[in-house]
Amino acid sequence: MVLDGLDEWCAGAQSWQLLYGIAADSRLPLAESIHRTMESHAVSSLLVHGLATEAFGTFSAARKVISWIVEIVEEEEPTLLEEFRHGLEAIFPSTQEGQQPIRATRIAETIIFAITRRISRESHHSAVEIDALARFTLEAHRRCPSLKGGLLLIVADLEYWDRPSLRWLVRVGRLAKTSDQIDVFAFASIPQVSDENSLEEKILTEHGRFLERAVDTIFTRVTVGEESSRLVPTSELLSDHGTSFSHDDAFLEVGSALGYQNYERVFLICLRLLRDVRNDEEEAKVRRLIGVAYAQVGALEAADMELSLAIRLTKHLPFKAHLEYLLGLLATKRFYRLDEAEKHYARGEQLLKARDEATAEDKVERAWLMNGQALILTLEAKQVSGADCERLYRESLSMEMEAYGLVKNLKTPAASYLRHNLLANITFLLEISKRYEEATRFWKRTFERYLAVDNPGFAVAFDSRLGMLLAHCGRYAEGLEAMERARLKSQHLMDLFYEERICLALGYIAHRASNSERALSAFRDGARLALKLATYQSYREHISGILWCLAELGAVREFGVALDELASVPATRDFVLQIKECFLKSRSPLEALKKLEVSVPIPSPKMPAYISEVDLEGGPAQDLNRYLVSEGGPLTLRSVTK
Amino acid sequence: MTEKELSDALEDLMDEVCIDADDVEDEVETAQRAVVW
Repeated sequence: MVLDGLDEWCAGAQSWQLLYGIAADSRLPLAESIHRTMESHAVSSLLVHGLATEAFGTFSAARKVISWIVEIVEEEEPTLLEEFRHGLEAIFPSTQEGQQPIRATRIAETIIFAITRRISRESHHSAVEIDALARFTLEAHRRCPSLKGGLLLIVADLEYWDRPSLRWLVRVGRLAKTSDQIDVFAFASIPQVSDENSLEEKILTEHGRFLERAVDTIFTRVTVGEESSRLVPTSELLSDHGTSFSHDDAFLEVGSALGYQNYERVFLICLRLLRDVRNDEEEAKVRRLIGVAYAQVGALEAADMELSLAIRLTKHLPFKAHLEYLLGLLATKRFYRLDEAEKHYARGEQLLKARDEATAEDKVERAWLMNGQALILTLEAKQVSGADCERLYRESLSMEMEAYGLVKNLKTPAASYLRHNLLANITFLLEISKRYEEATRFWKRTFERYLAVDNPGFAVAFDSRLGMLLAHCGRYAEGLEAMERARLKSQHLMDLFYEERICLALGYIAHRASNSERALSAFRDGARLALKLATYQSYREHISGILWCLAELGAVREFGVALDELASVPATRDFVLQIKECFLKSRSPLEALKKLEVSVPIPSPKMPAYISEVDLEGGPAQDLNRYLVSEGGPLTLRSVTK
Repeated sequence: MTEKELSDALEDLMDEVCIDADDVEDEVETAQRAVVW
């Protein structure tokens, strides 16, 4: 089977094969044999192995491959290095002193706050880097003479690849064109999923789950034997080579790994920290990080257990209150059990009231508890209507403002993050309660001052948010201007993900302004970007926008032509053909779209914090932000209990 | 809280949110990422 695959590949067919059933000690000789075979063809191949000793270091596997590619690029196409500098810096960080490291620290800090304080996924920044690295790989293949004939990766131990590297590999496969000749032969064992609660057991089984998801997106699985492979036990992965850090550096490493959704790395370092803890307080801190990581991989019961254990271990009341807050947030955002969440927040408040005087830390934790409570009030408001709804919104706003009062004079990074979160939430609450003019004014008054710093990342966030708020006010011309500014900045940042979302928003606003021509142009731009990004759910949204605009313009012939063009994309073909079938029967574009309930897509209130097509971590049961600005109703399939 | 009290409180808060020019430089990345719940 392996030799058949090689022959087929050499004949020009694309093949990403994952081979099972070969004992670990047989794989390397076989991989070496394949490597030698490929050397006789006009194909550049690289054998990648020995990843177990890297202990899932972030981008450790990708770095081995990309280092090899960079050596070739330096000789043959050095301009590529500047073109993809941003992505390459993710795995070959600059060591220069000065402003850059300080800014990088602050960015990492805010991402960690978002992950640990809001249980947010925050994979957008790494998605941009992974996408850039994948495009670098493909461009190197297309432009370097040594790689043009074909590029083959032979991976002896895919089960030890860290998540960021797997995401890069899958991204290369997803973005490759049929004319590209990049292939992968990989060997792996995937452990049986276990219900064991021990962290050691969970590390490899959680990775196995992720590996299966990643593999199924791009590989063909081939069983070539019946031998099973023993995975290196977790305890052996904790060799000094892979995980030797000082205590403080270990926490920084955990933070960095969380920021890249590299959960196995998080678990491994935490396991090492647990072995070195000197007292209950230290153990509680580690258990908290494990709990957050469990929450991120969707192991919610395990997350609950770890955070509850941390509460029992610590005697530091503000930290206990913080842990109650995290449990409350989990109950709210993952279980939708609002009564349970309220109990956690109430317990947190009681703990802080028991203190003689409120320190800065007390104030921060109390403000977070109030922030969590405000979310509950807002979710409750979505379930009712009329005066009750308005009252709950006012209570939520009042709580957020009171929380702001607690932290307004505190200058720590934690307090700063919370202050800004509260101001953004107040804006959001005003929007949710349809007080659009106030929301717009509040957003501008509280955040516009940061435009003076000329930070394009902030400018995208500010103007894209402002654009949607202005549109809600009916101030469409201003809304479009703000969105166009955001688009220019996203292009400057080479952030295709945000540019595509902004095109969706531009199309939506132009459509609301009854400017179908402009909306059509924006949706077409967005569709091109979505295809380039291989984000087909987004592409489907733009298709809906394009077809609606053509229908409203009365462009019947163009509607038919568009259907034929759009049907050429396999991922959305069924959707388009359904519309085409309806259109052919009725000969009315509008009638066809209405019958199939195809509508102009409504953008999310804000730019996405995570990109599931790249991070491969799935999606939430329901997008809470979209739900909060919707007309309300039941929160997804689970009923909200109170 | 009544509607008027809420509006007044929002106005007061908007007046109050005032950050030194130095802090703006330091806090812009936080402002970018400290988004909603």
